[in-house]
Amino acid sequence: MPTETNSLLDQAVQIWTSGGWLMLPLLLLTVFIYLTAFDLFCRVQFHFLVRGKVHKREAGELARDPRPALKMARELVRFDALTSDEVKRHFAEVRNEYLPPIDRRIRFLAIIITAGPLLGLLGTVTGMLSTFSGMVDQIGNRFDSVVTGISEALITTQTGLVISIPAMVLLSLIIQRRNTLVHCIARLERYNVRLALRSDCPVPKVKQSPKP
Amino acid sequence: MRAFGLLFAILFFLPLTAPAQNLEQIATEREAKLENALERLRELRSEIQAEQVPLARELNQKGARADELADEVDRVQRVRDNRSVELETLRARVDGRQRQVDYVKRTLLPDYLADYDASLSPAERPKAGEAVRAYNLFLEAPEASESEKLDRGLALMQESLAQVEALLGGQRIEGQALSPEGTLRDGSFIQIGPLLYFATDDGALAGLVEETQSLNARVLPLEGEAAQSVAQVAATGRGELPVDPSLGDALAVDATKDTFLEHLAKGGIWVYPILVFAVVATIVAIIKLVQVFTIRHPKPMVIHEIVKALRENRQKEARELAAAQPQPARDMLIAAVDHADESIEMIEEVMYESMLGTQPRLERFLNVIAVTAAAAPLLGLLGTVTGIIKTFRLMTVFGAGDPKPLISGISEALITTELGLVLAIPALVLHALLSRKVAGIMAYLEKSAVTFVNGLSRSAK
Repeated sequence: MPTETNSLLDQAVQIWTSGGWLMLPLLLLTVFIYLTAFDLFCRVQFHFLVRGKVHKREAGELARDPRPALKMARELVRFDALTSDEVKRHFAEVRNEYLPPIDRRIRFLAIIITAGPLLGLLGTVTGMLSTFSGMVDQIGNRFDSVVTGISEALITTQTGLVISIPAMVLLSLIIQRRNTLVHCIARLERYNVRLALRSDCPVPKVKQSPKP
Repeated sequence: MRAFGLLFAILFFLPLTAPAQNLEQIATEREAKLENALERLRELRSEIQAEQVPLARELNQKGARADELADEVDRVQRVRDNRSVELETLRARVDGRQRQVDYVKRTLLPDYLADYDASLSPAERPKAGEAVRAYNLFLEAPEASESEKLDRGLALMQESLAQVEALLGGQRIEGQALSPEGTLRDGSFIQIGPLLYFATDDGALAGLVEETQSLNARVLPLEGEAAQSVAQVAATGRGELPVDPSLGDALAVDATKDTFLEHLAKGGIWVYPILVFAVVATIVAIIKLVQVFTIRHPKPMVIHEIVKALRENRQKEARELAAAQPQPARDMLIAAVDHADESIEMIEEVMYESMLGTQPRLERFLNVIAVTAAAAPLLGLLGTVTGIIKTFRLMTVFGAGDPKPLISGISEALITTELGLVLAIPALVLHALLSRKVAGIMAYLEKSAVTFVNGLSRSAK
């Protein structure tokens, strides 16, 4: 195992030097993917609703817990709402505020993650093409040069995959957190609706005109 | 002839030279001389005549002899010509023969003996192989004549034929072979045609013989009855032998089969993350399957019964009925019964909230399976690409003459892809199955809630 990890490190150092001109775009893509991914991950992981674990809280905790994250969550609740429709409209607004930027970024991240292996494949194909075209006007030990060319051409594919696989795992974590956030907002909404309907409030309910 | 010439000369010149003394004298003298001359002439003629016949005869004889000799010369000439022609054909034939002999000596015999040497089984090799080596040394020796070399080669060929003959009936040969532990053991080989067995003298180790690259053959030990019978044949020369009709190919194929763990270990470093994914996803899948498929739904009539009990103001009974239902419907129904005296909106609200608590609980960790399904093939591909790069790098170091390492390297590199797909396909199916099941449960809960609320609102009117 230690020798293998060493060889992997050596490879990692070699990779950037022996992969051809497409290694530069791949490097840029790597930086771009991971910046986006970490930015997004922090966005959802440290969102005050997720941090306060709002989706697991009971109504009492939501109402009285002194933690700052829960205080911020309470600011989203409309205590003056009287009907569930009102609450629904308000929370549609809340969702629109938090979710679309995250969803947009998730879609974008998914696209650039799939671009990694494709870019690597492009590098491999161009590398092989240049190998074969070089074979045509080269004399000498052809097979050896082909082998070397192909093995270097494959490095970009390898790099693309090495980049993408951890990013995929990261993306799945992000999506999970985003779903947690959705649950948090839904939880708050339910709490708010119950408040609006004054179910467990000693104050008598405001009589509503019966719906047609 | 000369006699006649002489005569004429005398007749002519005599009167000129002789002085004219007196005629008489001269006449008589002449007469006498003439007589004398004539006499001599006659003598000479008769002499000539006498000599002429034998001479003529002798001349005839000589002529005949000359003819004979000329004939003789002709005949001899002919014979000599024939001889030279025959000599040419003989020379050509001798050349042809010589070429044949050379071909046999330089090409056929060495080739045959090399093949023979290569085809020797480990049992025959010590003796017969030594003979071939001695022959090869003899060929190199400077003092050996060509015919001796040929004779040695032919004798060796006869020996090899005798050896083949002996194999048809089977033979026992004393020798040494490697035990499975790698120690050299004395014993005897049994060879029948292409089949080769070995048994130690004490019969402790008996089995088939496997050719190896090394100097000695290796024994593949047999078990039980087969081993006993081999040992018995080795000891007594009689008995039955187990036969491997594939001539060791079956054993070779069997040797290429590796266990599951060996197979995994060949895949390289990227097998481990795939295995981690596999273990985690399997555990999650089992837990989720148990959790989701053990969920029971309340019977459709139960909802109506609860509503009926509520309508008839039997709160306690309704609550008991609700508490008797399986989860997650139970929580929802209990909450609904507890709030039954409030507005319909409120009842809807509490039921919805209870459902909201259920959904994340059911959906939790499903994304682990989804990520596994997505990442496992990519990880497999990564392992394959890495393996191929490694193989090709090694090939640039050790040369690309032999395709075997390339093929084995690529086949080992493909193990991770295989593993990734083996993992991803069930993960995909399971994820789809579980998601559908969860959606179904939620839909059923919703239906129950709607049924409950509708029943209550009808009773409220």
